[in-house]
Amino acid sequence: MEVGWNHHQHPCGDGIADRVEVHIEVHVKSQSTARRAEVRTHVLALLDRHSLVMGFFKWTEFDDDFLTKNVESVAVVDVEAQPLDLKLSSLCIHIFSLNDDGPSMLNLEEEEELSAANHWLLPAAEFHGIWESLVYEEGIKAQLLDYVSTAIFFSDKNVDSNLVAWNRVVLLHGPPGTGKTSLCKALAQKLSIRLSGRYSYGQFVEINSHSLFSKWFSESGKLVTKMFQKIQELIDEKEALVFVLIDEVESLTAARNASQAGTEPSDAIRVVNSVLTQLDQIKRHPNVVILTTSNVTEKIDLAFVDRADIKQYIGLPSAQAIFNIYLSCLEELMKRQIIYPRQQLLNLEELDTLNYIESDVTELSLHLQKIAEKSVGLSGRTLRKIPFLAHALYAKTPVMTVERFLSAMDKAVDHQMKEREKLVNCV
Amino acid sequence: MGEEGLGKEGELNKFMTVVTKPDSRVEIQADGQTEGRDGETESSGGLCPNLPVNTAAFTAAGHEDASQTAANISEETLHGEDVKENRDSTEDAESQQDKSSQLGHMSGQQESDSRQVSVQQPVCDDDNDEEIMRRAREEGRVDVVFPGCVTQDGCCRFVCELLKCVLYQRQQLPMTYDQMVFFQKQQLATTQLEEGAVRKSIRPSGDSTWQRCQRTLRDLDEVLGHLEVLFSLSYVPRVLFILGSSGILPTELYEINMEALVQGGSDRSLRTSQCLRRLFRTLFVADLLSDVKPVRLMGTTIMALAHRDCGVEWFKPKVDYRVPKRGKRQVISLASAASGSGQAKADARDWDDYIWFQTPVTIKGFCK
Repeated sequence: MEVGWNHHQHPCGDGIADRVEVHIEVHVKSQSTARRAEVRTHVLALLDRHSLVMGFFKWTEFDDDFLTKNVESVAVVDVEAQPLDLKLSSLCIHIFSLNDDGPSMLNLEEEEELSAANHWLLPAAEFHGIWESLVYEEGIKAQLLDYVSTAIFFSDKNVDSNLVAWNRVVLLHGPPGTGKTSLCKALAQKLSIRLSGRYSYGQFVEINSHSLFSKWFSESGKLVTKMFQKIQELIDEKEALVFVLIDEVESLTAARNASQAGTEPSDAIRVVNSVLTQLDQIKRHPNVVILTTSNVTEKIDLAFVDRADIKQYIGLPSAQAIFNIYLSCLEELMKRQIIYPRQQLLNLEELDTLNYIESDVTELSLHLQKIAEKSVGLSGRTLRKIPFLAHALYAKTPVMTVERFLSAMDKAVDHQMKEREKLVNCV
Repeated sequence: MGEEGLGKEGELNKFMTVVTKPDSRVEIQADGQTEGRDGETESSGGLCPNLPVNTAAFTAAGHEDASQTAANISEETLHGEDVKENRDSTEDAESQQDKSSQLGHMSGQQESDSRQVSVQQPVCDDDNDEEIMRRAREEGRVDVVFPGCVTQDGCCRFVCELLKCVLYQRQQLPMTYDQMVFFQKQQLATTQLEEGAVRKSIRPSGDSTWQRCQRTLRDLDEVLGHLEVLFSLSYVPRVLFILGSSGILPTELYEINMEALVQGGSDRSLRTSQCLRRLFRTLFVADLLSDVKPVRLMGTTIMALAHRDCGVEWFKPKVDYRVPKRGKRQVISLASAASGSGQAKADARDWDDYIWFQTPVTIKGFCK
């Protein structure tokens, strides 16, 4: 909170550029009324006592009464998995508490029951933990985070956009079920925490694109304008950082040349035009980020694709990513004692140091790795379902050992693959 | 004013009816002051004679009408008192000169009261009414100045009564809070009477309406109860009523600002009933809450500024909350006339220690 601008161009410590920057996220309990400055002092004291960490680390229990009473967790985040001395790095401490009210509706017309957008106050309890649960190729998440924070940083510094061109439109595309929408939500959550020193709160607006089409001919364009006027109201609050998510953006920006062939009603062209001009309008404000997702990229209007600065392809997870996804699933099941007794599974780095040599220690992890390799081609959404299917279809008992669960998962993956083949054959 | 006005007056009277009892205690405590205080009531009645006359007339007619067959005895007695009180004040209105000469004979202890009267006088001027209306219309702001200090308890009552009033006038409740409580009691009584008979037929117009009515009332009662707790734990300088889907982008926002109120002990403060009367009179003159257009049903959230260490549990602390600047915002500001009565001024406090607390429930509006 008290930390100013935190960006790699601008070290927030005592100005020593060669120090590594480490982000510390402090999650304050929502019932706490403590002063942020006081929380910060206590967290710094805690970090001083435990200054050596191995990569990502999270404290949830404290030897300090004040922290136990007020703080849910203190986490060292987004660092390489290697030993790290916090005393030698500049610490950026982000203090936040979650908003647990659900989404509220934004209505376009007074009497309209259907809401045109859902609206969250960030950081939202609903989005908590999504960022950690998303597993992608090395660097995709960090890269996106850096992209957007640089864009906001430039706007913040009033860089003349006629000389240096950039905008804050992100387009994530890729096959279904790879977590594009989740990534948008997680990114917004992360940034609202990271930039809490600059903006006092974040807002997340998810547009229901279908609600923008009117039953009246030629009214759709106006609805889009109305929608963006609402968003404009939010942006006018300079203290707020606003994220606008347009999910499945192709429905709003379907290629206009398709309509020239006569397959698209002219009302739809107006919507595309309206969206494009409105986007240009709100883009000028420094405190707005537009996040869009799509899985049929070729259908999107070129003028829109051109406007998006960051076009990130989110593909199917690799074997490595799948291994990590499975690992997090198994951890959760062990925590809930569905898999019992608890057994330590090694992660890929540890397997690597052991040169993948089969032994008592590595046996289970190697089995998991084989399953992961077999699962390549499945989407993230399906992968997260596999442990459930394994339990539902192949478990004989409610509680089972890791060994038996792994073989159940093995069968579940085979089953999933067969299903997929059948579907493809039917088509 | 048409029928709308009639409703208002009736409502106003009910507020006063409720307050009558606890205040009698104060009168007994400070016996010597009773006369002076009465004088003050008279003066407020006398200076704006049209209001109490109307009120008295409306209560007599309007109330019998509203409560219809089932008005019980205790209510009637309370009413009788109230009407009488009002009639007294109107009679006295005619002899305003007498009263001021009476004031001249007051003892030293009563002097503060007479000074209060003098503070009061300009407030009821016609010019002033116009000024109040203009302010309400152009700035969305109503200033109410009380001629002395008030109790913390009184502040809580102002907020609670204003909440009930806002909900009714902004069309989130189909009738006033007191009428709703009354109807609910009546409904429960009939249900209990005909216990054993077919239950479903007794319920009025469909189960869902009845349930929604009960739910709204339950939520509102809960909020009112917890507001009392909050006021007993901490000094509360500001309260917000947020109507609309979210706290960040409200459709309507009403702020009760009590920063300029001087709080005092119960023996040195003004009677809450008088203050309420003054408050609602100004509010009706300002015509802040009425709207010709029908208002959509929305949820109402209440935010209150209180000390961070007050230890209130039910409310959710919002350390980073900022009052939204957009949307329709109206301020009802309560103040004590600068009297130098030796009370610590509110601005001496450390505002940094005051944070916003939000009610965890939203009161959902409903109509019949």
